[in-house]
Amino acid sequence: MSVPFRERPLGKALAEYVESPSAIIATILVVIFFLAAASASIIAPQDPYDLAKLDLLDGTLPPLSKSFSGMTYILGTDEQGRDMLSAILYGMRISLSVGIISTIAAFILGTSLGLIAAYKGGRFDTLLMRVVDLQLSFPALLIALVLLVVLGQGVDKITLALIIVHWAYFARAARGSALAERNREYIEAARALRLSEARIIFRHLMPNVMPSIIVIATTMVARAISTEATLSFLGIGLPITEPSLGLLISNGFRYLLSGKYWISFYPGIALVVVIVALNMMGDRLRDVLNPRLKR
Amino acid sequence: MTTPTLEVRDLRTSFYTKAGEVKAVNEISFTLAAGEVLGIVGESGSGKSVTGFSILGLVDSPGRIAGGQILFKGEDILAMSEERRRQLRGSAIAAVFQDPLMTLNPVLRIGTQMVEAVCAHAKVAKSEARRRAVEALRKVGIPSPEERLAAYPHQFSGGMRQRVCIAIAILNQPALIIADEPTTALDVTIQAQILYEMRSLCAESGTALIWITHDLSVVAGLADKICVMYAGRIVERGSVDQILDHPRHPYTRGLIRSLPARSARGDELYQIPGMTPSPLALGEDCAFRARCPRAIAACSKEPAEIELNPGRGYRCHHPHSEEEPV
Amino acid sequence: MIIFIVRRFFQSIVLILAMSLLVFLGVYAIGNPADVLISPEASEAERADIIRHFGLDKPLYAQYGLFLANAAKGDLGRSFKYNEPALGLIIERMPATLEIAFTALFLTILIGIPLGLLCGLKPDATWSKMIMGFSAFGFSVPSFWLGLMMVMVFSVFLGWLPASGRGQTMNLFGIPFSFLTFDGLKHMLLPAINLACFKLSLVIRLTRAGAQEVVRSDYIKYAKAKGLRPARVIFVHMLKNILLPIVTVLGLEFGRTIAFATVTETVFAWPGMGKLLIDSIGVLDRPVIVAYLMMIVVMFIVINLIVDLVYTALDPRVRLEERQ
Repeated sequence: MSVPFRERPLGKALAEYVESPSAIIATILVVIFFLAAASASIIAPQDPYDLAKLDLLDGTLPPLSKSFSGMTYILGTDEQGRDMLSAILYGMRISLSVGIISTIAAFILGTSLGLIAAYKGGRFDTLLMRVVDLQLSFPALLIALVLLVVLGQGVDKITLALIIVHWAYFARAARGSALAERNREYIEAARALRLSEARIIFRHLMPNVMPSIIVIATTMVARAISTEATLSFLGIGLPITEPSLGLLISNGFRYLLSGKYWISFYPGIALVVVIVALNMMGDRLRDVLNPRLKR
Repeated sequence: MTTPTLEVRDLRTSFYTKAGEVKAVNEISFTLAAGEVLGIVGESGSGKSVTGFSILGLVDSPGRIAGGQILFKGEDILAMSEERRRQLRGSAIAAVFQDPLMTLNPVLRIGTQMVEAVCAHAKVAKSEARRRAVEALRKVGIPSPEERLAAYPHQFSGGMRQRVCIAIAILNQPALIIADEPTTALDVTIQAQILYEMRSLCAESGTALIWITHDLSVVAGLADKICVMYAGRIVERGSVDQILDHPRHPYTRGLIRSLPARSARGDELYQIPGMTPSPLALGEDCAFRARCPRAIAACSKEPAEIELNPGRGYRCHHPHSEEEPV
Repeated sequence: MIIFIVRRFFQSIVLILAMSLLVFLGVYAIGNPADVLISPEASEAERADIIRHFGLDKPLYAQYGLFLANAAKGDLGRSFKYNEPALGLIIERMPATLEIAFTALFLTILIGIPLGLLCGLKPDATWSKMIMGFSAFGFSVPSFWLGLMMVMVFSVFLGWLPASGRGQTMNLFGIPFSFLTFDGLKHMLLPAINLACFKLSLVIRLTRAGAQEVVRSDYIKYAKAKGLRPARVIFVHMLKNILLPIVTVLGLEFGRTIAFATVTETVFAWPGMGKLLIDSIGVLDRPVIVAYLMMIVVMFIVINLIVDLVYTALDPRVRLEERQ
């Protein structure tokens, strides 16, 4: 007997999720941005890294100006003559990939540690929690700053820094949820069946802890993107060869005061829309998934 | 005939939730004269507490008083302005709630909480208010009251805390005290003391008292009359003797039978079968029907109240007879 | 109570020592201390000097001892760029940072708590939902972007306020303050507001949640049953209970605010500790970076201690439990 999708927990959750119009808009926006960024090389009107194609004479043109070759710069150009739209698309790609990859890694690392700590308890648990508490009592930005000073610049280094900064949030959340579930009967039953600890933790405990962790993961992606952008803006994050949205904004900063706002403004809008949309998705997920946790 | 202290007529209070209207209090009527003690008995969910809150005007949203009249000394509380109601609260109509640890503000001293109760209703100097507070504490039997004014609620034991709440209730010489399960959170021995003291205080000052409880044995020694509530309605009313010795409604009988004192040693304790119906699931039939051993065909329609004498009545199609032994 | 203070004080000292060990290890054991402490342009003589001063040729534990001894004297190396003691530079810039941090705190309390209270008491009003929407915005948006927008709107388009710099200052007890001059105030306003944004959103949400929870509590119902005036119910009974957790959060957030000032100071070119840090990172002026870190760690621990003490003083339940 198969249960129709609408009646299964996943189906119910999805049905409730789409009840909120703002959540739908937010999700659509995120998907659009994601697809646009992924296909940047295909849909961008210009390759902003191909120095041969750039014309300095086209520098700092306002939006909707035309180039000598007849192309319209929809969002204007920066000081090197780069089309802002293309730069934003490529920048979005980097911002999103760094944000998503670092979050996935932090998710795996943090959740595993948190689950193991909750299940095993004892010294491992105490030690882990001390470390987590200590780390979380310092602002993420500062820790990332220090890490980057030590590690240097580069996509891999900033991804690593973000992972180190964010694993603690996942660990704490996973442990919290797992502690609540640990004493439930199904865990006891699994134990009685003498299943291996790894199996109990990852095949029995984890799926029940997943909903709350997924909520956190969504907001963490937003946070990772935001932190990376801030670090790049400060000049500590990604190098100029791999400009994320943060770097684009930083680049355009000095032109802001002379009224050439578009060099910073549009990358900024793109960044903010992605971050806010992700947060809204996370909020809606939390509303949908949380009541279920109170079973 | 003097105006009764309290007369409730067809009170209706409902909670308007997403799932529908919950008729917590469904056309309740009763009267209370000065110095009388009324016990409102019912399970949780019967609407007894909401009745008390309705009289005080403290029904929180999504709840609302949907109709009826509450006549306090002849004046309809529901027709008054909110300001006038506020003036009555805490002075002419006082309240004692269930768990004093929750009802006394944990971060304020007892003295502060008592003095403010006085000053909210009378223009007196702080010193005079303090004097009255000390007097009230003394009356409820709290030793060294002057020092205790500076204490915080968590520094008192449970019974003492409730005495403080009673002291606060009598501070402004109320005409009516509404006590909602005041002894439920206390030890049995303390319970007895509190019951005794409240009774004497009320007798002394002619204060009317409504004692809301789920425990019939508590009001047996205290009340003059009893209203038994079930699913938002009064299913039986009468004097305490009439209710305890000649209960007509099957639910009332069930309540009396389930009192531990009634069972002989070694006997199984009686329990009314089934559970209180969900307030959203109430239909046209008698709400007690599913649990009633005496249900008949007529019970598919909700019974109207049958009044035997003023103050004595029940809602039942198939009540027990007057002479049936309990 | 005294025992409590003393105990917490010693805990803090232990924590500072532990953090100093971490910083020390990070710099001396993992990193190459020679790179950190000796400027690449130093002469041989200067090199030898520094090696001797910091004991870089001695075993690790001796180095740590020297590190602590030097740190206690306030010697955390010399800045490569300015050729001045690193710690001195930090302390010189501290008033500027603290000024906007305190102003941000002040603004947060002044605006955030009343707004949060109002939203909590009337959650269904349209304006209430709008305020919550804005606070969600201020919470998730990166603060540097908000700063940029503020510059764009208020400096470039409207021309009301200056976009950067500190403006005029006036000395009070020998420390320059901006708020004492009108020009200084104009310069201080945007950075302080920018710094306050995140905290403001947080405080509004917390106050609202607290108000909603407290308003349904039994003791509020009881206070109303006593017939107290609504104003008294809100300001005497509710407020204290709502504010307790908020005080803790504000205190802990203050430390984070000082750290986040790095971003605000960069956007507004405000000459505080944060800007110094970013500039130093840019030119690899490592002694300054180390000095900044130590300073921040100490500040954090001190702030935590103060917050603990304040909370204990305010909540009678905690205070009296200690005594018993």
